[in-house]
Amino acid sequence: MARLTLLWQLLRRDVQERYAGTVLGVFWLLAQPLFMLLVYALVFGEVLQLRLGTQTDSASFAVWLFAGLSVFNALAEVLVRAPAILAERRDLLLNSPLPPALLPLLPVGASLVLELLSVGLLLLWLCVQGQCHWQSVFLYPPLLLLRVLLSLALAYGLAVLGVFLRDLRQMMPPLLSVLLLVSPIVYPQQAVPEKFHAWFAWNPLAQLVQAYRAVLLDGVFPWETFAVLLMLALLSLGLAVLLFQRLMPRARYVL
Amino acid sequence: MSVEIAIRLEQAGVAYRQYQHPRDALLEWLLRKPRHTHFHALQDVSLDVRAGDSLGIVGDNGAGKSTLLKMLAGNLPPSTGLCEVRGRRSALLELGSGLQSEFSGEENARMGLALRGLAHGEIAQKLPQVLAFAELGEFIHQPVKNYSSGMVVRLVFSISAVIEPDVLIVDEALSVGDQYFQKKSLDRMREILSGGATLVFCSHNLYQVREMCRQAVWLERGRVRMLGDAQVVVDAYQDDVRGRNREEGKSAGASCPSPDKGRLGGVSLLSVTLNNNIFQTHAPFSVTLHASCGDRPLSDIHAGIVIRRNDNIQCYGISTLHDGVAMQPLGEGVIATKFTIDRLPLLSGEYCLEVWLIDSSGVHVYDSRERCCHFRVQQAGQQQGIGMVWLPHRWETVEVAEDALAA
Repeated sequence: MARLTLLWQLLRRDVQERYAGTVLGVFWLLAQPLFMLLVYALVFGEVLQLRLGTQTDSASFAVWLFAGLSVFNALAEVLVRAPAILAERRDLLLNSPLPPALLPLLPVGASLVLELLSVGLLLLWLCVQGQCHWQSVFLYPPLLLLRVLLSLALAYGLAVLGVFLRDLRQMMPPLLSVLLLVSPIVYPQQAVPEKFHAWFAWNPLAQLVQAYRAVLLDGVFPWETFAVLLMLALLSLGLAVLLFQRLMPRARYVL
Repeated sequence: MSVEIAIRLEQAGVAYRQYQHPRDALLEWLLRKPRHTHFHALQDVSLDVRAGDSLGIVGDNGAGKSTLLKMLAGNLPPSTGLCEVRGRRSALLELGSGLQSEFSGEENARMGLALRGLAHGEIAQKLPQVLAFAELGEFIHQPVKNYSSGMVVRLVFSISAVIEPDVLIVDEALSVGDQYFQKKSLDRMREILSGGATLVFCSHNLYQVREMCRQAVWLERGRVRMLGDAQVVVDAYQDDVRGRNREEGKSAGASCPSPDKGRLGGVSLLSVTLNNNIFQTHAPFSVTLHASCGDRPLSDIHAGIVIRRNDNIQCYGISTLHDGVAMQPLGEGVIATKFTIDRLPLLSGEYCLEVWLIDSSGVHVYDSRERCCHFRVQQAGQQQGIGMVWLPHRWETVEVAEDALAA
């Protein structure tokens, strides 16, 4: 109970701290993905005229893009912040009885806020357009859980490794650019020649993005993908937590 | 055991590993090959503190005091041995650590309470008390980065002490606060103690340690040099510090008149004897002097005695010349005198004597012994006062003027 209070306090501050003194405040959480959507929709939808299968309007392309970006941005939040989170909260970690295992939860918590805001926005837009699938509301939470589990695995692993390997922090932004481009997020998979499709089958991010789209845009639950990704998520989370616990006592020496 | 132990340390130690580069710590783990050098901040500390008891920590800078406090506060796990603390602990450690400077005092208080294990409801209940105790006024809504160090102490102490901890740990940071707040916080500490909680207190203000604590531990280079009754440990530490100051004083060339070596007229000190070498304050004290008078007349030989504390302070000095007393002839060229203090007013410390044989002008020195007859004084407790000597005193009722009452 007290732990939960502590986590809540930490999360609240974490979000507040980032947007303290800005004009938009917490709305930056929304402004950022919206801006990204605007740029991608313009460049890929209007300028490059990318289209999905038979559909021809650029509005549905934007919606499709937004679904993919929502999950990507949430993961990006975790990937960028996790390697530095222990160093960021060094003072608290070394000078108070704060359980270190709470810290990697912070970027995951922020990503959760981010994702819920953008997915909420997306569903609202779909309803306004009359393209809403009522099942999405029930099918989405399991997918969110899957994404959170994957994020936790990444957060715990990267947080503790980031203490020893300072380069990780610098590596994340370029890595994200690569991930964005090797996954069908800003372009549809069909736009890619057939021989590269095998790669997408092995790319968990591609699978996750496609699962999100299936649920949010088509109201279909991709059971097979979900099962495989869930196994992957649980396995890697187990490993990451183990790694975190084993390495944390050492991390104190070099923090 | 009938009494509950609140703090138990068994051969507890803290070693920091120092690495050339952070990645070495990871490589070491992967390759199982040591790549670090050890720094022992604390070694082999064993002590028990019963619930409701108080432990003071004294020692020089870098002796391991802060490390010990951090370990007791639960911020740092011991790398060897055992460290057990029962109950809710609350710590005021190094200044401002654990505070987030961008946030207001109130936000930090909320966080501090959460870190000390309070749940949401309790925080809402305790927060007004914390803010009231800190007395920071409007500043409580300002970011902590705008605080003075005294204000930071007010805030952190309030957070630590307003919740009722089972174990309260207070670092010397407290001394940064102003006199008003220091008194307020010491009162609060005493209140917590009398409520049955355990106190661990570390301060360079040895008087406060003696006042607040029943037990004390003296740390030196990460090890326990002495553990026991606070009065005894603090006295021993103080003696040691004074002793070291004296060494420094010596090398700086403390000036004392050197006797005219030539033993003019064959006058020399034969013996200086003290009736004891450990005294209690108010115990009888006497020094017996024997000297050979050579060819000088008795009236031209006088003895002087100086009591010096080991930090080189002259406590008192007097001579037979100034008191107008003659030395006593014992025959065969030997003269003697006995200097007696019925109730020695000196307070605890280490002292020594200086003995001089001077002529009747008081200028010429026949012979002298410096820093001889080392002795130690112990006092029964703080009730005999603090400082160097017990001074005769009394406390009187204040006369209240009639017209003052009427007004």
